[in-house]
Parts: sequence; C-alpha cells; structure tokens
Amino acid sequence: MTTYAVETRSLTKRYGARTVVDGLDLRLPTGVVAGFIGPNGSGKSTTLRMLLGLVRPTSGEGTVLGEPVTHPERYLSRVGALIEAPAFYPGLSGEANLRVLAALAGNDPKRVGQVLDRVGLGKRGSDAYKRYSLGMKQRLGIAAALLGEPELLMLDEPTNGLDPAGIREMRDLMRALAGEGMTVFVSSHLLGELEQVCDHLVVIEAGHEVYQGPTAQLLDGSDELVLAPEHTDDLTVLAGLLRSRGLDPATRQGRLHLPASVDGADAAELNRAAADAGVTLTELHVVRASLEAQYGTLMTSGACS
Amino acid sequence: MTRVLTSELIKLRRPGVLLGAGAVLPLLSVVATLAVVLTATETPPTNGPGTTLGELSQAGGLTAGFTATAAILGLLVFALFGSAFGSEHTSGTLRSMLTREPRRLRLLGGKWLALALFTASSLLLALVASALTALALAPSQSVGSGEWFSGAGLSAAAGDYRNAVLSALLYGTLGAVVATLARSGIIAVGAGVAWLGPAEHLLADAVPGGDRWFPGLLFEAAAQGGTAATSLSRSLLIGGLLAMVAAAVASVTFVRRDVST
Repeated sequence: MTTYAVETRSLTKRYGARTVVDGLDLRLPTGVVAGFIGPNGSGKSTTLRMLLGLVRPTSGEGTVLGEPVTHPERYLSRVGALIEAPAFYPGLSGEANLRVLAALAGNDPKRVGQVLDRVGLGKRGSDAYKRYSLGMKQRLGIAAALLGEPELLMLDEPTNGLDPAGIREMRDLMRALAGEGMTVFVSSHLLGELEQVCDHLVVIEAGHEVYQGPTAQLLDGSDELVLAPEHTDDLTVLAGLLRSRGLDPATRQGRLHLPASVDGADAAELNRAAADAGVTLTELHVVRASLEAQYGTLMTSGACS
Repeated sequence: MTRVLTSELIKLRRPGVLLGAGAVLPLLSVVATLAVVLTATETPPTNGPGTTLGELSQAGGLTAGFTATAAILGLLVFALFGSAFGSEHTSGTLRSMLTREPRRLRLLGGKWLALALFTASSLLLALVASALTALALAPSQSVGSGEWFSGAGLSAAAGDYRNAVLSALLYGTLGAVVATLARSGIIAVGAGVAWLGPAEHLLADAVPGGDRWFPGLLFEAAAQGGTAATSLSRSLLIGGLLAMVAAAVASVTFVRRDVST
C-alpha cells in the first residue's frame, strides 16, 4: 500500500469570487522527488502555503505526513520549507539568522554549522546577510529549510538567483536528500532541471490538476523517430513509403515524425527502403520526449478543455 | 513560549537595535536630567514648567530627570514594538517564523515578552544613567542629595521606574497592535507617533474629558505617576483595559489571517 507524504482531497482556496486552488486532489508518495509545475498564478504557491499552515483552505481537507493540515503544529517540525524569496534579518549574519530559526523550532544549535557546510556557506556564515549575493541568500534559505532534518522538504522556486553551477549543485542536493529518504516537493519553471531530478510530477493550471504521476509515465510513448530527406521534394515520396508500411508520419519543418515505437531494426529497414526508392536520408534519429514539450501539450489541451 | 523568547532575544542583539533603542533611551534620559537639574531655580518659575532646587533635594529628586522623559521614552518604545512586529510582515520573515512555530498566539506572546524584557532593561539603564548624572551635577547646583538614598528616596525611585515600565509596556502593546493590524512597521510608527504625540494633545483641548480617555494621554499620565486630570491607578486601569481590548482584537485578527506575503 502506497503511503503518501502529502494527500489532499478537494482542497480549495477562494479569495472572494476568485478561486485560486480548485478541488485539488494531491497524492505525493513518500520518498519521491516531486516536481510541482504550472504557469504563474496557477495556484502552486497557495497550495504550498495551505500545506504549511500559512493559508487556511476554504474547503477540502488534506494530510501532511499523516497529520491534518488543520493542525500544522503536529507536523511542521518534520517539514522544511523555502517559500518564494528567502526572508532573513539583514543586520544579522547568516549564522545568527539560522540560530534565530533553530531556537524558534527547537532544533539542535549544532545543526547550524552543519547545514551551512552542506549548502557551501560554511566559510561565509559570519558575514552579514545583507552582504550576501542573491545566490548565497537562496542557499541560506535552503540551509534554513534543512535545519530540522525534515522528512518532507517543500521548495518554491529554489533555483531563483542561482548561477548554472548553483543550479547543478541544487539538483545534486535534491538527489542526495532523496537518497537519504527525504520526500522533496519542489516547484520550478526550469522544466529541464525538474525532468532530470524528479521521479514524480504534479502539473496544475488555474488551480486544477492537469497531470499527477510518475515522470516516466508522462514522457512514456512520446519519443519520436525523425526522418529527413536530402531534398524536400522527396517528402511526399517518403511519406507515401511510410504509409504503405502502415505508419502515420506527421510532417513538420521538412521532416517526418513517427512515434518512436519503431525499433532499431525497423529504422534500418526504413533507411534501406528509402534508398531503394531513390530517397537519400540526411537524418534518421530518435528524439527523446522532453518535459517541456509534454508540458506544452498538457497546457494546450488543458486550455482547450 | 521559551523557544520564541530565545529566538527573539537573538534578534534583539542586532547592532541596530542595541545602538538604537538600547542606547537612545539612556541617552535621552541623561539629556533630560541635565536640562532638569541645570535649569532648576530657587523659586518656582512664574511662567511655564520647571523644577525648584528644593523639589530636587526631596526624596524623588534622584529620578526627576528620568520621570520627565518617560512619555518620550514611551513613544520610542511604541516605535520599537511597532517596528519589530511590523517588519516581520513587510520583510517576509513572518512566514519563516510561522513554519517553525505555527501556534500564532504563542508567537505573539513570546515576541511581546522579549520586547518587554528588552524595554525593562533599557529603562533600567536609563534610570541608572539619569541617577548618575543627577548625582554628578548635584554638588555644583547646590542640590542636597541626602534624601535621595533614604528609604523614601529609594522607594520613590523604584516607583518611578515601575511607572515608566508599565507606561512603556502600554505604549509598546499599542505599537504592536497597530503594526499587526496594519501589517507594516512604517505605517504603525508614522500613524501611531503622530496620534499619540501631537494629535491627542491638540484634541484633548477641544474634546471635554479627552485627557481622561485618550490612550496616549493615559499612558503619559501613568509614566508621570498620575496627573491633575487622572490618577495613577485610573490611568493604569483604563489604559490597561484599552490596551488589552486592542491586543485581543489584533490577536484574533492575526490568528485568523492568511499569510500570503
């Protein structure tokens, strides 16, 4: 039986006549790195805030680590969170800022040094927060979220302000945390990054769930075999050849696209057949489905529905 | 509550806070003591307020300068509380706090208690600084200080300190209330100081009985140990009730409010 770190039923938040989150049924398996995707204003931050007890749901219910969201005091000690931009006291050092939060949460003060080291701020902990770069502030926010050795980590746009190396480190950190058994729920617009690190995805639009499930399942069956003839005049001949073999190619930008259920032997056969028909191929390769492309498809179908 | 208190005390160790409220209160007290002792006259002044050398030589003379600044110190404490409570909203640190301590009343209580301890400590420093200044000036102004350390003198000093602390905490509570409702320290300090300072004094002349009901004037009367318009006990009772009702309204609002910034 699957256990869920986060589970909601018909979770809804309205501000007056505006519905921000609309009947969301989340099921986040324990131990996954889950990506939370959606356009700006789709309700991601509000959902995270409801799970953290910052915003009161208008209706619906849910549990976090088995405890009801109406009683955040029962589970927040086991949850780490970074919501939107990190917020600290500018006049205090990074280390003192973490001591403030550690004292408030009742965490072991020794954790302060450990989490600073973990995010690469060990040597800059005594610097005033106001002197930190954007990336350092973001790292301190992550360090603060890790203070209590959480079972569940919720991160809202954690790569904001990070340079490419920092983004890579963040990805590695999330993988490492998941390896330690932590459930990570991360929202981001960097779909390429999420694709690499997330084994579970939740996609929402306008407060509605659009997709929820394993990343592999969303991308499965979406790879394509691409064929491009040397001369564009040969596209019709090539398309006819493929149709005669029961395939249904789509023409896009001078290339023919087929679902990549065609295996390597079939591809070789297609190459030979094209050559026999006098068509020379300049391209014959598989294009792996990307989360970005699938997300675009989901959003388009979501907008149309 | 202990965790909140410890956390808040770490924040109060910021240089800006220590040098601001922690140093300004004693400094103002010293300046006021200088003014009170150096301008004291043999006979009561014919126009305007003033203190005589005879009054200064009495039991409560040691803390006369401190008492004279109590209302101004109260306004500063209002600003301290307003800024401390309001900035958590505007800087976004409130959400970090609430994800560590979601019991919101406990958070408010712990923060208030930490600021109250800081205020009481700062006022004690102010009292000591004022007393040392008065002691240093007394011989040159021919002010007798024999009564200052008598039982009555020490009792008067303790009473002045108690009144200053109670008054400051009423000011501070109101500052916390306004900042919590406005979700902004700047708005709280601007509006609050304008109302409690000049506005109430001007309105008190126009509104009959205003000096017996306006919160700022009640808090000020408490700091001075009572005035002609209202006694110490009345100012503490009515002022305390006003502050408690305001605090209850702000607490309920804070507990029920969504934190979306």
